[in-house]
Amino acid sequence: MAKDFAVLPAFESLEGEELRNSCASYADFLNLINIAEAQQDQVWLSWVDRSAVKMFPKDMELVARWMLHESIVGNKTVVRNLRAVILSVPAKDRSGLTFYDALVRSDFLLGNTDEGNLRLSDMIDLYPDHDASHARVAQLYGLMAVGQIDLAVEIVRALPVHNNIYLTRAVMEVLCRAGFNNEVVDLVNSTGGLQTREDMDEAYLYLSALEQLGRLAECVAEGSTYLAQHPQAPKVIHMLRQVAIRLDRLAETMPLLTYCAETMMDRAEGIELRALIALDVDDYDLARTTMGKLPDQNSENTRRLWLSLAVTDPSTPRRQARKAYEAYRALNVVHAGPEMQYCSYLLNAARSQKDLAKALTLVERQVDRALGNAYFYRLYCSLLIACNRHEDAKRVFEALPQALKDQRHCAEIGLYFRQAGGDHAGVIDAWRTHAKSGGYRVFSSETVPAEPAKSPMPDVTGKVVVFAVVFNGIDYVERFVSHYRALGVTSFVIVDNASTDGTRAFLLDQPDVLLYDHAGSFRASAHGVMWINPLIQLHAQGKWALFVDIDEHLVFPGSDTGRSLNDLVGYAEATGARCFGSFMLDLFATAGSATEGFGGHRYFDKTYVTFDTVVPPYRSIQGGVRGRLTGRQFLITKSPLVQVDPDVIFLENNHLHTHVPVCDISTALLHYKFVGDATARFQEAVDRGEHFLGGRFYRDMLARFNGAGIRRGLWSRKYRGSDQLRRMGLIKTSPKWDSWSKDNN
Amino acid sequence: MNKYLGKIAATLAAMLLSSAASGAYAASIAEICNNPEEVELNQKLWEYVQSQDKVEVYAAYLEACGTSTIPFIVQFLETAREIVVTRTAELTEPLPIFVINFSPDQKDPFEAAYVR
Repeated sequence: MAKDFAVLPAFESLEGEELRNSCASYADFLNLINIAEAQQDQVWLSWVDRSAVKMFPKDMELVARWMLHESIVGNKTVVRNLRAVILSVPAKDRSGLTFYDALVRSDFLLGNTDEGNLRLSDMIDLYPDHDASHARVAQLYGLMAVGQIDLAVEIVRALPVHNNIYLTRAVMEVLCRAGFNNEVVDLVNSTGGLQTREDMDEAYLYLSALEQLGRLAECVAEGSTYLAQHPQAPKVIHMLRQVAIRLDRLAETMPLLTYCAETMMDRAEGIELRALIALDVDDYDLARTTMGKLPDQNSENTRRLWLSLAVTDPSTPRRQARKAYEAYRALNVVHAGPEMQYCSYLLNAARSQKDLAKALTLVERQVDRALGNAYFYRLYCSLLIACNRHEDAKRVFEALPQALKDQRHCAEIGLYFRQAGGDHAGVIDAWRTHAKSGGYRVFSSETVPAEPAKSPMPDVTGKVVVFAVVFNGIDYVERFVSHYRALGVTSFVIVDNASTDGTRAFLLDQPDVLLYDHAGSFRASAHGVMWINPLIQLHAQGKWALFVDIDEHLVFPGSDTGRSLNDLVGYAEATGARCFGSFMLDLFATAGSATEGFGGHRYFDKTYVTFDTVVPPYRSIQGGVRGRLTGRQFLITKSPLVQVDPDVIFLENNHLHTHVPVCDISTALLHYKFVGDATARFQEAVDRGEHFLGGRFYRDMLARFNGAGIRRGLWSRKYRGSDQLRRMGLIKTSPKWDSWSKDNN
Repeated sequence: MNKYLGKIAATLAAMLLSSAASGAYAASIAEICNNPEEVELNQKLWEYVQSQDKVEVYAAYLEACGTSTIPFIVQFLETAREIVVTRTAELTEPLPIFVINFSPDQKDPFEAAYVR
């Protein structure tokens, strides 16, 4: 007879071995199963279940308990076989509670939810004193797995009060999946708050709910406090990291993430986190070395990390990224994680329509593995739209459950279709609400308003007012104001971010410039957007705001042959449009022309890919010399010129704003990034760390730009005016605009 | 043209009639297991399952025939249960899922087919 243990010894220990060897009788095995079950020791349970049934294969009670344990850990193969065994036993021989409980769990694990619901109901009727909360947990997860969220919510609403942590976690997950994020937050806050939570899954779900509600700053603050107490919580760590990236607060979060990694030095999760930290600071060699230390190179996490490296390091050849994706997919994971990662990369770094078509093919193959993931459907619909399959995208979106449609990623697809159908007033209204709950960092930034630099300020005149933020832009400001004055602008509103190179003095001398000062962090103000939005509302109500960077010169069809900005916005107003799609056309100098100032910067790369997108201005453009230099695609789509009303909000610099109808002609921003001592400016930007992801763009540029011009070749063109861009299909005009502008001049 | 279509219709009708007459054509494995008159066929089925000697095929047999109360099949089920339990206890890797199909026109009427 086996020695009696109150607490099981470690499985691999000498005592553990002795215990295993001493197990001989039915009573020994049963006793051991009871203890392992009470202690939830999976290693012991796995051994004792198997050993017991090998010795007593006809004992269905033992088989049922084994099936129960395997159902809890989700071992589908074993559960499927044992379920077939138990269901082949005559009903009278499998009528006890153990059988019910095991069969209910197996029903839900294997997706037989109808049978499971009936069986669970029978079990509760037959055994009213039995605690069915674990079976309820299985039911809720089973219903979520097959997409029956509405029924899961109904069950959650009818649940009696309980204090089972597994059931609480399942309830929170159901509410999150159904989009009832406020309830999740209230549930946690009404029971002691996040910091009292020991269960890291609950903490993760609470933070997910905050993230879904767009309460990003709270998510980072509460997540940071939680991790300081519970640093070994990988899901919480990754949530915090992702939200910090969205808020561009990774620099502030990095010490905490590093601390978390240190506390998990002996675990794969610690190595993975160190590799991610290296990726975040673009130290790809360190990331590669760190990942090489992971003990299991074939695990899902490791393959995912290698794919992350391949799609982040711009020096990775595309075929290598494809191989990393294939290696991840070869694991046959049940979800579409590999596609979400790789195809997002193909979409965001698309060089041609072929890339988009390739991404769409891969995503379409994995629809069965979407598992109700909102990001998957956002990606899928975005790719369908980018590939001009709008009707298919609409069908996919309309077939989604309402809870999924309401989630942030999918809500924007719904708004896209509504505006495409002409419901502009409804979409303007909906975007105002959506933007605030949609997690845009502009609503989480912590800054104070900019202060007027002089008093009194000049009056704002004209129909179009130019807005900009500047830091040490002395090489640019004079040219900037001249360009826009030539287009008819009579008022500029500029925020000086504590320039030290004479920019502020120059601007103070300009009679048409309303100068504001702000010495605070550019990054903390969502890259100046939080300073500019209130100034736009203050100075451009009922007018048009042209929000541009100091190195951006707007051009449009006819702008260099006498058409003014007043003409342009007049045309838009006549056609019911309120904004213009645009993009940055990076102009560069060669080694020979680099010393000629702005005039020497007359070349641009000619290859771009354009496709429809789901957010304003609904048309994306990618390409240009920056992609050639860095190997990475950056966001160059812009929409800087908008008619202002109280609802208009710029959300991401001048790349994105809330919905207004888009004009049928488009514009370009001649972008003079490389004028003057560009290398010094890039270095300064990296040192200040005030640009997105610590100035990733500038780090990339510094690594590849030698300051003595950029090579041009067959892939480049000399800029010859807006009509050239129109001929190349880079900006759009329309017969109406051409005749309208002639008629009005 | 009409003559040709008529010929096809006649052939199809004959095929349908012959399958209905055979009695077993449309039968599922569960129907065979629960039919006390199909002694020989059930014997063949059990021989087939044993010849495959795979836990996944025994499990497929249990899933299809588990509700049978025919005495000799109950005995087969008992054997199959013991085999599935003891072999599942040795499993270290996930298994594919199989079902057993019945095609009476084939020389070997039973076939274990991979589902996923």
